[in-house]
Amino acid sequence: MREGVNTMDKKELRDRLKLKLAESPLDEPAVETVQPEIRTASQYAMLPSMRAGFRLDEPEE
Amino acid sequence: MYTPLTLLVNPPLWNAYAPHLAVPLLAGTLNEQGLRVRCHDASIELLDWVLSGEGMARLAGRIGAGTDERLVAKARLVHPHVMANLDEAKAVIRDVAALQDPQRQAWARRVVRNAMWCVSAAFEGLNFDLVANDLYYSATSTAAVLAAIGDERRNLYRWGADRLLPADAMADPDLAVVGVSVSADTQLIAAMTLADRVRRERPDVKIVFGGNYVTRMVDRWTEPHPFFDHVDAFVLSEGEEALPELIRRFVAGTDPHGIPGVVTRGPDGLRSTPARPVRLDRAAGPDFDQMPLGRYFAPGPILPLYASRSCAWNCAFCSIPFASNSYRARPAAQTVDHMEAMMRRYRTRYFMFVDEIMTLRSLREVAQEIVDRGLDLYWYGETRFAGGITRELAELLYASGCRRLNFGLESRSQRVLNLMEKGTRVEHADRNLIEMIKAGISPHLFIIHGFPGETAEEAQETIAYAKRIVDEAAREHQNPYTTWGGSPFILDIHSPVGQHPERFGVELIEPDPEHDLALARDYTVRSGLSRAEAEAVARSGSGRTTIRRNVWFRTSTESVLAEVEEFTFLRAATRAPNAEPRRGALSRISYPPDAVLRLAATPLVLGWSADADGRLGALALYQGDTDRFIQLTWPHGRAPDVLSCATAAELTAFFDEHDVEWAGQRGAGVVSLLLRHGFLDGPGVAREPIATSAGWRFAAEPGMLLAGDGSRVVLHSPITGNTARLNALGHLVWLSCAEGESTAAGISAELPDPYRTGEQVAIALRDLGELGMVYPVAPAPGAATAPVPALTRHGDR
Repeated sequence: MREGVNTMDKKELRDRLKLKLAESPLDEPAVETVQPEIRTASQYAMLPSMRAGFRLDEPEE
Repeated sequence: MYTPLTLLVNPPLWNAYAPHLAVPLLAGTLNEQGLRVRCHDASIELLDWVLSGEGMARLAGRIGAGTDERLVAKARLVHPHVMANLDEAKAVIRDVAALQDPQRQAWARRVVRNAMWCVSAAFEGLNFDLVANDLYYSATSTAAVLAAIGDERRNLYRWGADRLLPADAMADPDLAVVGVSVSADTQLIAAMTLADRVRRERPDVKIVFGGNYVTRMVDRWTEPHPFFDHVDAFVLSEGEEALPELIRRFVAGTDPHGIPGVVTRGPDGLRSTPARPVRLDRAAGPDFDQMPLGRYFAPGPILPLYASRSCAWNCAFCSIPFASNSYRARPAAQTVDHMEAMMRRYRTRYFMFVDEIMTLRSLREVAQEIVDRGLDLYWYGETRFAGGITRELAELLYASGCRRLNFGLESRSQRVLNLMEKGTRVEHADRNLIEMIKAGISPHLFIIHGFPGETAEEAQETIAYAKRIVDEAAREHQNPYTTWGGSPFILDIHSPVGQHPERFGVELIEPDPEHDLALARDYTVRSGLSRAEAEAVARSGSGRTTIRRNVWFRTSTESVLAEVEEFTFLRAATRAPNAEPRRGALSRISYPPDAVLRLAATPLVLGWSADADGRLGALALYQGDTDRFIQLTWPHGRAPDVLSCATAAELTAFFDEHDVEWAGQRGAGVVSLLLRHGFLDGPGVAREPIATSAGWRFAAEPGMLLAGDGSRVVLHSPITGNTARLNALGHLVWLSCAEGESTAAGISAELPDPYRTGEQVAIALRDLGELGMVYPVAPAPGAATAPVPALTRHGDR
């Protein structure tokens, strides 16, 4: 899906989501905030290059 | 009388959240042997000062020395708010009671993140962070490290050199030895910078380097290295026996050659004697008396200690056994004696075992000893999956105060575990995890993505497994502190893979000769994921890259917002809520056209154009209390004064006339947007708090980013920086608000039972509203106004 653009017919999308709704548990959170990553100092100490190429965010464009 | 003084230094950058154990252990040893010692944690000293109102004031004139114009712009935008709030934010971060208030915590962490942007923007090539930072100079190159020593413009540590060494110790005529503990490559440039200063100011003083990283670095040398111009001796592996002897010989003026573990430069080349494992039953307890325990960036202090050293296993990816001698455990009673003494002396109940791996025996005996003595404390550590972890052991661990255990899951595939020579069984992982979670202990799962020979499917199955465990722990066992973290496989030259690459189907690629200190190697594999593919798996597994963050003010250096294990442990110990994104209270804004508005944010006219042909300029605003950013198109050369005192009608006209825009909003739409997010305010503006989302019409905020993320969609607000995953219901609610103003009743009427009651829809609307993704427009006549039930957010207990 492209950002901010609904490429599917809106009604079709709604119908599909409603079908999906029937399959999901009622107590499932509809809006789930993204939890932060977990980091440990030992990772950095023992494998000093571990962070190379692994950033928590995309680099500047 | 001459009483020779040894100064022990822990250089930056080391983890800011808790003290490192090496310097206190050596201090305890030297004290016990009657040698005078002074300790200096230069890492926290520098971090705490740079990240203070005083440090920020000193840095102010330097912001702009960085060459990344967008980072510089971010720093200028946030600097006033940082100056006003940083000291308070640090007080919040250090307050154990504040753990119970995740919104206050979230505020404080954003202030610190902003301060780190300011530091990064003050030095070319710096990406400043609390765990590891990237400088312009690489620590993997001797030439770069030596060049950094004298460069105040690009080397933060040179600029802050006053903080690296205590003035009184440096002025002490009896100062004889400076010992520098280098555990990670992140400390090397600062260590050499401070060694250079000691050399210049006190040429009479001997300089000794030791630590895990030094051990692995020096092992590669076959001839005297240029670092010997700054360092008199390197101590490999453990320092407790070598350092006191070295100090005595330096003081006596005798030859240090022949001390086990010591490497020096002799007239004919390198001179070294193999290291010898320290007898743990004779080892002194750590001495934290001179460590600034109130200055670490977490409540506590969380004090490190150990029950054993090195590791009894020989996993193919790991170099731990290489740098820490053979595996040895010490008597549990001795370990707990030290723990009890630290508890009394430093008034803390929080401990981290820094053992590479706590064996079942260590776990059981230490836990039993704590329980037998009735100590009221909390601790965490690291162990491995094993057949012997039972319900009874898990319950004993919990009773002893264990609240978190790190496990090296590495992979969910037995085939890959066998390739890793890990010696663990997947069926043990399943059983061990459930026992721990049920007992109330939160596991953390380390994962390695792309060990040589691992397939993409196996890597994905491992991620799915970790996510499922975390999810089940929270939902089914009310254990919301279970976590996982993955890293791509890094080939360390001292690991079995590095030593015998052919055995693992790997071919090493020699690094650029300039990177002569690099301990990691690039490589090719005969089968399975390549190194680049492993990194891609790690990025996608983290779940944070599904939105392309295409707004400059939200890119990069968000890492301070990442959770660290010290905080997860403290949350588990105090049963505090998990970290949360920033939320705002729901309120409806209204104002008459003649309401006088004023700017309630920091403005910055940007140095670049907002459009490709350069017709429009750009203005950025930052609202620090709610952490909201926006970039408006703006007339070139126009100061932002117009925002300071104008009526809503005048501003609307100004925005219309000058094409001021955000995400398609113009004129009155921009005025309303700026008021909703607190960038503008004024005496005539009414903010009506909303007790229930059920009775209101909601609309979607403009400029939101939407992307797919497997079974869910991900929504991101560039203004608040919040990201949320939406299930089918959340997606339907969002679609309704994006297509037109919608009410909970209206949305739910179209849904199948049991969603028709509107309860879940109202909760979703409230969540989206608090995250700044939708906003209340107006009351819905005749709609239900019952209060929304308490939120059950993911991760809440």
